[in-house]
Amino acid sequence: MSKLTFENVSRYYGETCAVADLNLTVSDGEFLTLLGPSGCGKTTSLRMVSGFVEPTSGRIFIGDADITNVLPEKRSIGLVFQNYALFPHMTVGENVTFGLKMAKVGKAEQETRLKEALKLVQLEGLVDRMPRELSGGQQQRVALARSLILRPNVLLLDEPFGALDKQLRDYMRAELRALQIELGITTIFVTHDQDEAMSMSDRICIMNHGHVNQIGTPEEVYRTPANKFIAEFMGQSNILPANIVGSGGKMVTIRVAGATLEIDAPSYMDSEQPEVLIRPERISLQPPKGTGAKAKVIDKQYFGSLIEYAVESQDGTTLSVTAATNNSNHEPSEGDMVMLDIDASAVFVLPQREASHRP
Amino acid sequence: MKANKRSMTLLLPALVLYLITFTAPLVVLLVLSFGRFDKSITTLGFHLDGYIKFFEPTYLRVFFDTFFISVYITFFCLILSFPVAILMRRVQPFMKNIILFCVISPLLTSIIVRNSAWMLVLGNQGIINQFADYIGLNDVLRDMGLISRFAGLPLMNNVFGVVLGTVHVYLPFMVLPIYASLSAINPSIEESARNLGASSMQLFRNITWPLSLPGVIAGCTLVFILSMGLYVTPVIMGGNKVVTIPMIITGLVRDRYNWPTASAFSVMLLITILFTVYVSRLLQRSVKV
Repeated sequence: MSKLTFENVSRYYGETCAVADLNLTVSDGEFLTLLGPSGCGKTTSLRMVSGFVEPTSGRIFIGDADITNVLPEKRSIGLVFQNYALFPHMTVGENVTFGLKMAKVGKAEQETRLKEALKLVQLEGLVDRMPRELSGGQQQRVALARSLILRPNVLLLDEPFGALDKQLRDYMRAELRALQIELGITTIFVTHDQDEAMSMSDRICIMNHGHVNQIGTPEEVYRTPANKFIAEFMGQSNILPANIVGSGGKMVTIRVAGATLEIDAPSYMDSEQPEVLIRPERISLQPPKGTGAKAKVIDKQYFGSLIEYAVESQDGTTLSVTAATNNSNHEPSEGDMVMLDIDASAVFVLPQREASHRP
Repeated sequence: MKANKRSMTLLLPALVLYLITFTAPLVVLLVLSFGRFDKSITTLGFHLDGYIKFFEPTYLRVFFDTFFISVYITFFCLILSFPVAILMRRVQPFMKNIILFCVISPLLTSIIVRNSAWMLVLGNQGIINQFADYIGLNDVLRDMGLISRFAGLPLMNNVFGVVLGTVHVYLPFMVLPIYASLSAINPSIEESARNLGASSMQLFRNITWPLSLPGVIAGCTLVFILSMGLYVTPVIMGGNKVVTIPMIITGLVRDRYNWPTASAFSVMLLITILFTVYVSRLLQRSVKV
């Protein structure tokens, strides 16, 4: 097991930039997710690690070894494709031991390690099945076992849950993460699904247009997104124009959606009219009393454990609000007037760097 | 079900055509093959004369000659086609279409034109022999007694010429099925194999080749069957030195009006072909793709 380092890695296709000047270190045993919309460069980055795409410039290291020019078959990197890419003409056992066979490992050791690997992914008893006789989840495990049996330094997962239905996906997600922690294997996971990224990763690296926009823990990227793109990409958001109406010391007073709030002034704030992020679950709706900001419920959708409201404040701003369905919450109906209760700590002033580094 | 029945009527014109031009002659052929040919008179009945004649050493030899020529043709088509099919899969679509056109182009010209063109290349006065004469190669070979005094390199009027001329014509029938099989292989399967440590050779042997087998079997079957019916090329490029079963059949009909024997030989050829198709299907089924 070892760390993986990208050093000034770029990849161009003609004039088109797929990955621009990527600098990233994945620590030993870390689970890092490359997250972004399609075409953001995450898959190209992954393919440069596996060796199927050559960087236009820059270097890639595993541990201290420069692998930039090493052939794919010599890299000792596990790779699981979205479509699993099992060999259709081989049994599960033959698939899993393929790498050992290529490396001319002895028959006896192949057998032992096959048993180990199948046990790891709970596929004992399916050794003689053909891939087409397996369910999607089982194929996924075969692909995983086939990679892990070689004890790779790094595991790369390219949208491995894309082809599974939702329930199986949630289950495999938890299982894969548990396995990764158990083996302590450095892992890069590529996905465009922010839920997947949030629930599994140690850190998330969000990419857009070939550039890294932010690297941080799931909590960091959710709570303190580096720009508007990330704020919108990571979960639901209210991104609202605010006005600074007063300041004193480290605090500023802003007006947003008809509410007046006193918040900590971030060091990077240089505009009189910053955009602020307020997550829907950080706003609560109260019965209309007193002097707080008033709003009208214009839509209400019931999802069992939570309710999603759309409300329109008096200055015409539309906000989405989510509330857990428990007895203590006020549950207004469509058309009702409510008071917006926004906690000052819930307001995050977005850095003005618009989708940073974009060429 | 009703809609299905009605759409079946769309088959009708083709069906009628097939009944008239394919099934009916086949029935006639079968009936005739059991006839008897005596003193230039054909009598129908249930006689095995034609079939017995087929197993006479002279004709059996021609059958095996035809068989082995077909095997050579199939073999050379295969080893020439595989690299082309692999190349077609790797290049850009534009280049792929150019290669595809080159591969198919022999089918767009008449077989006689193509074979005659080969005569200009391979004959005693052909380009290759003129060049061999010019550089003195043929004189050396004549002095060594390897070729006769009045001839050049024996490039045609023999099995070599026939095989070469036929391979040229039948190449597309091998390239296309193999290409189809290869392009059905998901590239990530091959990438997986490399990721798991397979060298180029190991990748070919363990993944690409086994997964292309359906195409290889289909191509070989097609080329072999076509080769068994070889007539024009051995006539033009065999120079009476190469005789195939179809040539015998033609001779029997054209020169001797011996329809029963010709029919029996045809039936035997048909049986060989049906057997080939049967073997091919067995092979296809044994391939685990």
